[in-house]
Amino acid sequence: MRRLLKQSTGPLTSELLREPGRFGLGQVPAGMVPDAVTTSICGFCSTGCRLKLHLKEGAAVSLTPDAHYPVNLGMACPKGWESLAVLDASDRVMVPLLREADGSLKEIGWESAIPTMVERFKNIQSRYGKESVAFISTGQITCEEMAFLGALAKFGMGMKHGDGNTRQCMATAVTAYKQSFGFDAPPFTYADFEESDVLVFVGANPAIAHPILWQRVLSNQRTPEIIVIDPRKTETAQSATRHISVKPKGDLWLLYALAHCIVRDGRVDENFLKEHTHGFDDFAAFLEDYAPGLVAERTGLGTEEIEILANLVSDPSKRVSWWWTMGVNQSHEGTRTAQAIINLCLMTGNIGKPGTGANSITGQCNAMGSRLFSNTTSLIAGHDFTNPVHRAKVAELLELDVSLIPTENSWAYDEILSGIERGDIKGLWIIATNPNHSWIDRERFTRLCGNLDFLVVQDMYHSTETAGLADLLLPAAGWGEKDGTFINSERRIGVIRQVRRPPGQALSDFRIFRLLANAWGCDGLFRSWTSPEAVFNIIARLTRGQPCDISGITGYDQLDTNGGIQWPFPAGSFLAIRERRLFEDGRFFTPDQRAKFIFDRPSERLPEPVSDSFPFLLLTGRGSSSQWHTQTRTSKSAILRKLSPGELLLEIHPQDASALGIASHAKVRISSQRGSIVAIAFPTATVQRGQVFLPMHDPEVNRLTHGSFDPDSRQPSYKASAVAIEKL
Amino acid sequence: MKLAVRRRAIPRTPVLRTLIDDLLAEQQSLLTPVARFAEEHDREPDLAGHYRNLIPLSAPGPGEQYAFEVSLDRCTSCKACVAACHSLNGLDDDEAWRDVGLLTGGVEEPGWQQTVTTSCHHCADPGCLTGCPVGAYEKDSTTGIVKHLDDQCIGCSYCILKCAFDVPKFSKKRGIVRKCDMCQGRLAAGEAPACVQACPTKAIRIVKRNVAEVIAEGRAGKGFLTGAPSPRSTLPSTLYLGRAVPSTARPADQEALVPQHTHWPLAIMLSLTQAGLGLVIAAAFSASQMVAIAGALVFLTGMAASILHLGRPLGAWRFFLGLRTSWLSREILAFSLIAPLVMSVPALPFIGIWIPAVLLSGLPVALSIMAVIAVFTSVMIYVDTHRTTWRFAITGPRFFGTMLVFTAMGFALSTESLAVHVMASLLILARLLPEACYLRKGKTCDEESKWTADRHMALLLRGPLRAIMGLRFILAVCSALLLPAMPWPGFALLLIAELCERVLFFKSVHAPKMPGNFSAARH
Repeated sequence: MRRLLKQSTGPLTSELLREPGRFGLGQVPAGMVPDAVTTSICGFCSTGCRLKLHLKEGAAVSLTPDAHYPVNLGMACPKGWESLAVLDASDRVMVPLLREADGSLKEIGWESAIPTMVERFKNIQSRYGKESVAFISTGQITCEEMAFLGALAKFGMGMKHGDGNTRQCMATAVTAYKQSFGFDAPPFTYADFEESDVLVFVGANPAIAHPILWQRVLSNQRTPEIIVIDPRKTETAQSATRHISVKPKGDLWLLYALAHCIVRDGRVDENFLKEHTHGFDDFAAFLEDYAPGLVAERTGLGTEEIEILANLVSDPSKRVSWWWTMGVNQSHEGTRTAQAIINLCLMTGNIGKPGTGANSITGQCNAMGSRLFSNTTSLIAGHDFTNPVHRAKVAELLELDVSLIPTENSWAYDEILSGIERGDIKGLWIIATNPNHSWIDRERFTRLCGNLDFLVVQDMYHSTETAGLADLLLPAAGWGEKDGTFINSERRIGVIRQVRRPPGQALSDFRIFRLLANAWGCDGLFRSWTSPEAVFNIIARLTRGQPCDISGITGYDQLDTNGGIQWPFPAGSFLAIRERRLFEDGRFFTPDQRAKFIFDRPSERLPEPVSDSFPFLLLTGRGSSSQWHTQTRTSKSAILRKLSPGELLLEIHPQDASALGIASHAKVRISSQRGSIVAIAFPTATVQRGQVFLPMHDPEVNRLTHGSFDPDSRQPSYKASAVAIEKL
Repeated sequence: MKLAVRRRAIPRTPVLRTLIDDLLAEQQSLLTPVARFAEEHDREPDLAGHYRNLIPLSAPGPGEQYAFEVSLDRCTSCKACVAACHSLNGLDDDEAWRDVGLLTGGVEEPGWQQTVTTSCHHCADPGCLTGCPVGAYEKDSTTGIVKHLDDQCIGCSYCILKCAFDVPKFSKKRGIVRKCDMCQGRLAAGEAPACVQACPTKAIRIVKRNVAEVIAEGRAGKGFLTGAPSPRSTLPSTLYLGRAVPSTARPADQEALVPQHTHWPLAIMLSLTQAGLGLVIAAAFSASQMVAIAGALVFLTGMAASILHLGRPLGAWRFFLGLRTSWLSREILAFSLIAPLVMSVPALPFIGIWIPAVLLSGLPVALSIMAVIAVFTSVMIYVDTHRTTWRFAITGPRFFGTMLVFTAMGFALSTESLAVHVMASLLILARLLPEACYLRKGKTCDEESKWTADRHMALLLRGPLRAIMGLRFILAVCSALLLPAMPWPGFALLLIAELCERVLFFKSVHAPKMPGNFSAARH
């Protein structure tokens, strides 16, 4: 009777039953108990979390974050949790697609696609010269694929110009490190988050951009002072102990003012300066003009606030670490700003010790791999195209004719686009990136693609804004559908594994490059490049003698069992500790082994200052932890969609909103000199008056941004465009 | 203009052909190395060390229950708890039993923001449980976890209306609701719930709380979360700690004008049963056969519609299990009793001869009393949700008003008397007055008006719902004007006007919920 009245079991109840998952997983949904597990580094951001994939008959059915990996200690952000969901999207490219005369895309097989691409690119090269075909690479593919792409394009296909979307996120940090330290070498290890007494975040919002790193900050047991320097009161600033609400692009002035106070008060580390640096005296003299009172106008900060901050970051009894991301990198003078941070660390001796460092947290899962192996800005494995010794070394190790290696540097991304505008570049190959959404002043990008004779796009999805422009669209397998390695922000190399079959005829980028090498007729160069692991061993050999020497790594198994390995790891190294930082001996990678003080006067005005017609300064940045870049993947998960705003929101100060008669949730038009878009007003005092904020994930936003670039790093300055706001 | 390429025959080299085939075959094979994990069976969960301090060591003692405890200062908007709940519980594509919203500081601290992670509060006096007509909710006597029995659920959705925190969610493909069970199976095995396991900053934990304290704090309206719905009606057990919340804090989505679910079957059921009862009462007094037939038909259509509201109607016979606490159970009982009476009125000419005269003469009055009781149970269903804009002063007049205007309409339909017709018309117009007055609450003022649920509802009616609102008024006025000349068309218009009114009743309600996100599309 009781059973008749109360149905406490039955088919609906059983749908939610959980059973022990074994493999250290705890309980899992009953239908998803795995028969094996494996691991893979997450394919979204550069934190480099390791995920444990639950397999049934070889294919992944679910995942959980890996508790034994030193990076994430069993945690992941929503993107990581949803890594598999985004593979099942209905807009995956299944077969190669060729644009017909009527503009439609026609399905063709690989047997036509590859010869078509080869023939079209060769035709262009024979007509306009070898340099008239260029490529745009990415921070989202594996080291092995980057190396293959860079070597194939430059050594095999004779291209000279190639760059990556990494230009949009960390070129500034690269340049700053190269100039100051002699090599692109982020010095930190994640343990520094936990071992620091004062953490200063400049233009960084790790609480939502790198949530798993923020976990490390919050597990710091030293009751640290957490300082956030940001124009916006971001999620990170909300959680910090101190928010320095600096004027946009006032950061360089502020950093010089801090250095001024520290020199004035004699709080420098004399010994470190003398032994390990170069150029401090000039810097000290330069700083005379940067007293806090003199920069008040530029920074929007009071003298006292700056003095207190200067005291905090130069306390000799404290371990001070500095962390920056896009607020610094995406700036018209970002390289000098990053170097101003480096200078502060050098002068206070806060480098090479636990809990210290001038630390750039990078963006994409393999941006760090691209920095070393993409063969774009630098010759493969951190070498220099213009250095004959480097060229000879690479030629010898790769067993190729040294004349195949370009002797000049490639154009940067924006210069390649200018090349298209002038008609110098006629063929373009874009791999795993979406510039028709993400490039600054994107309408110009769209326009320029019309000048190309042939555009090849290689991507997982046919719905990306860039795929829509392609003459030939090649179906690529994504994360989870291929093997290889990624390098994370703390220089840790980890392995990704294939755990799913890609849809249709999609192939891993690695295999696409193999097909191309074959069809181009340069497969002789790549005879031994047969598998990702074979290529890993080749590129590891290439690093020998470099600061990033990883020739001691024996293969993927060693990486897996050791919880990843940080570079450097030269032959003969042994693994004593899991977290290693650079410069512990105070020796840098410059010829004299000293770090350099590099500085310049900040520019007096923004590239596009606000005006009467465009009175607001538009800042852009990360919207939420569940959104990744142009959202080609994250928009495919219903859960990730649920965790991000359903429409484009403009954050505006409530007083500015009411002055313009704009109510909460009202539709507004935002216009710049480039274009105008519509958004919903979100009045919030987390932005300052005169500034507005838009998340970068919406394809409309870069219609507004002003295309200005850091002169040293050629990185676009996304966070300072003049706009006008009106109520609709 | 781009150059498009015509597809032409490209000579295929045999070597290339083979390589493509090889690579495609290689790409489709899964040879992931897994051997080294083979021995790792049946051991302690890898995260056990991580969550050991985040769950109680022992089960709750007498007078205690499990509760979520959230440290606001540790919650920084990563939302991993939501993704993990979805994933570790094997839920549907867009389903998660936890959500993350946003509180903003309001006037006191404009730049202040706090993300709020929220799930079922496993209340001391759960509204879902007391509202469920078939006993599909149980509060575990040891753990205090409010469990939903999925196979017992009939999908009436009343728990959704009863929960002030928007916890139970309807699953369309199953026809039932599902909700958080605090991963009771995990807790029983010494494992932490999914959200607790997955929080990188250890912001969520399970604690044991003294139930008397939960009750005392809830009744006093204290100890919950500023900006969240009042804890008074259901006494939620979740503790929010760690960061002072400004007294002016409010949900980021408070002003989002999002119309609620229409609940068509309920709108039809309520308006038609009330209209039908009104007509049948008039017919019983005036002995008009036409009106009796029309009334019974309208009433039965309404009753039929109510079945469509249930996701799994076959279990509805268990409605008596909820009689002690659920107004929905009581409504089902009341309508089951009155239905034969309603049907008897049009049948009187045929069956009247067998019925004693005393009963016959008492029928109109008995029917009226029963009808008032039945409509009263309908009213109380909504009043008992504790939604401000469904309070008795609003719901009572609306529901009884429908019955009243149709009683008048019934009399008008059964007589030629102009006086009766005019009276009915005036009544129809008078019924519009309170609704028109209510709209004034949404009038824009110069200074920032203080948010209230009434103002919110008025703004919805003036804004996104204005078309339906307009239709409701126009139809009612037309009906009133038409009535003296053409009573039956007037009746038809009034029926639609009342249906519109009931659609608005559902769509415009202010449904309390935990703080959501600013975006109106996904708040």
